[in-house]
Amino acid sequence: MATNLTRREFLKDLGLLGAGITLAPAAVSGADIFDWDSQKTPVLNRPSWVNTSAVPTMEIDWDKMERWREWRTTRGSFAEYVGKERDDRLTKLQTENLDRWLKQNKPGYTLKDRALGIATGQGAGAQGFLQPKDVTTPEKLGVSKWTGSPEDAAVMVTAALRHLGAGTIGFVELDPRTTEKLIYAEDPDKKVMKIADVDQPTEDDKTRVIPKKARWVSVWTVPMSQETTKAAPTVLCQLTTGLTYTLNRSIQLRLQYFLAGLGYLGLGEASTNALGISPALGTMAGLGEMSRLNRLITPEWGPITRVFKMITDLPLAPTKPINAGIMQFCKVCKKCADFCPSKALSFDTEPTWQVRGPWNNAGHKAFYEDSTKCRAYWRQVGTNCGLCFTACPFGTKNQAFFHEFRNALVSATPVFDSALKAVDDWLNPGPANPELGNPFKDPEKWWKTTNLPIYGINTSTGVSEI
Amino acid sequence: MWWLILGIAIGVIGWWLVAWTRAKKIAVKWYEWLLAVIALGFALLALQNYYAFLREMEPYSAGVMLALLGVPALIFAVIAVGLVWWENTKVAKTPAKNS
Ligand code: SF4
Ligand code: SF4
Repeated sequence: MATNLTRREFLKDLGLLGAGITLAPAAVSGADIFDWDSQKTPVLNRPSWVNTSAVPTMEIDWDKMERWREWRTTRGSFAEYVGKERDDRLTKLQTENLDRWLKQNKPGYTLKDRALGIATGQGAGAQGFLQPKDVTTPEKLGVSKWTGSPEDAAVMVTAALRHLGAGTIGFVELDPRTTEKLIYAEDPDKKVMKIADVDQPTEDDKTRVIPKKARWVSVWTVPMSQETTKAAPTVLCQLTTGLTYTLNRSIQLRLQYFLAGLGYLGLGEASTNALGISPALGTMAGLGEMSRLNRLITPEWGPITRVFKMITDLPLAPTKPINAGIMQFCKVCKKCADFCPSKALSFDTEPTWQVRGPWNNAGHKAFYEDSTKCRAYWRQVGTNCGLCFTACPFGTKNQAFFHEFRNALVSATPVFDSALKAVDDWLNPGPANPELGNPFKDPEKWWKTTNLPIYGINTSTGVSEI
Repeated sequence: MWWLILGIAIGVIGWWLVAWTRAKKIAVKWYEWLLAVIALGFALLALQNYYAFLREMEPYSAGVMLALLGVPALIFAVIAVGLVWWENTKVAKTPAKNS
């Protein structure tokens, strides 16, 4: 016997019987609302100048690409690449510099910066490859798992992820000959990432097993504060990266619960940067284009964002790569390479297939960077630097008409790229004092600005309700 | 909201300007109106970019944008007003024939 009001009784109580009938046809499926062939990212409003494309703007040779061992990056193998002696010397320098700048009250490295940095890393949700054990599955509720078309699922997951704090969202279908190669062969902790014909994922001391049936990847951005990034390369700048990772741990955990609640797998990053190559998956999902940074540049936030992902067996309609003229613009721009204090970034005009060292993953035509130079600078300043992010013309806050105009022009034609770069040089001429560790923008001013947006992020990007 | 107020103000001032030039019998050629509209376009762009860059907390860029767009606005405005003034004073100084 029903324990609540019938729909008729409920509407009658509200006096909405007529209105309810009128509104009923509004409930249509996602596939009806979105033209999937021409879609950019479901639900979200991408800027009008963002074009989708069958292939990314970065050439990929899938035959040459192999599944990558994450720990081969300088994150995991820096000491091996530069030698123990240099590694030890840099560790000593890092400690000495951070200590000296703290005691000198150097802007961006003061006690309050350090305290906020530590605080920012707190309160993160548990992070794991496998879904938590206490999930409420449909089985527990006595119903069958959620079913719907891949398009409906993509719309639903996008809505959920936006609600949980993601910026832009896209989906990649894993294909063993192509996109599956973007899933790591070994995670940062050197555990082997096996893709096997099993029903359930498992994890032990040496291995993480991904069932073959889990063939879809949700990829999403979590934007960083552009204003805080301007304090690069200080501790204050670094903490916006830290905040993004902290926020994402909650997003990941909640998405795992959500997918489990629908009756599906949600395999997350076991640790920071685990599971798969974020910029590559972001590129395939159409969240942005690869760039001279050898990182993703998004149309919405430029490079000032982080990219995360989760593998699932819930079929999701893949989103297409984009072409907004960004990679093309990088060929004439080179501003990040100029700004970079360690000269780690490529000054070449064209991308190349030739990697710069064993820290680069081959198989794509890119502006490969010398990661050891970058990492050595990080160690000297004791942070993750970010000066190249502050240089990028696409990393602006996009309130001024000029930014929209530039982006639309860059997307339409490369003819004006040099002129637009020249204008950007006038607008953003570079750090006034590029001495080691000196901030691009004064962190003390940041500490006096009390009206930055929540988390420093313009969350109205892609909003359709206003 | 500010843009709405500005739009209304521009409309009212524009209407008044047309009425005033007619009342004063000041001859304004179509290309002089065009130059004035271009000047107004640049001025509006300068204004939007200036305030938006300030909101973006980039006062230096705001100043650069004001110069980049404000100077053409001024140049077009000066040419438009100058042409109108020159042509009307020229007409006034030219002795009437067969009178
Ligand atoms: S993070 Fe700093 S050191 Fe590394 S590439 Fe960017 S600017 Fe250069
Ligand atoms: S600064 Fe210029 S070259 Fe570097 S990533 Fe941005 S657009 Fe590309």
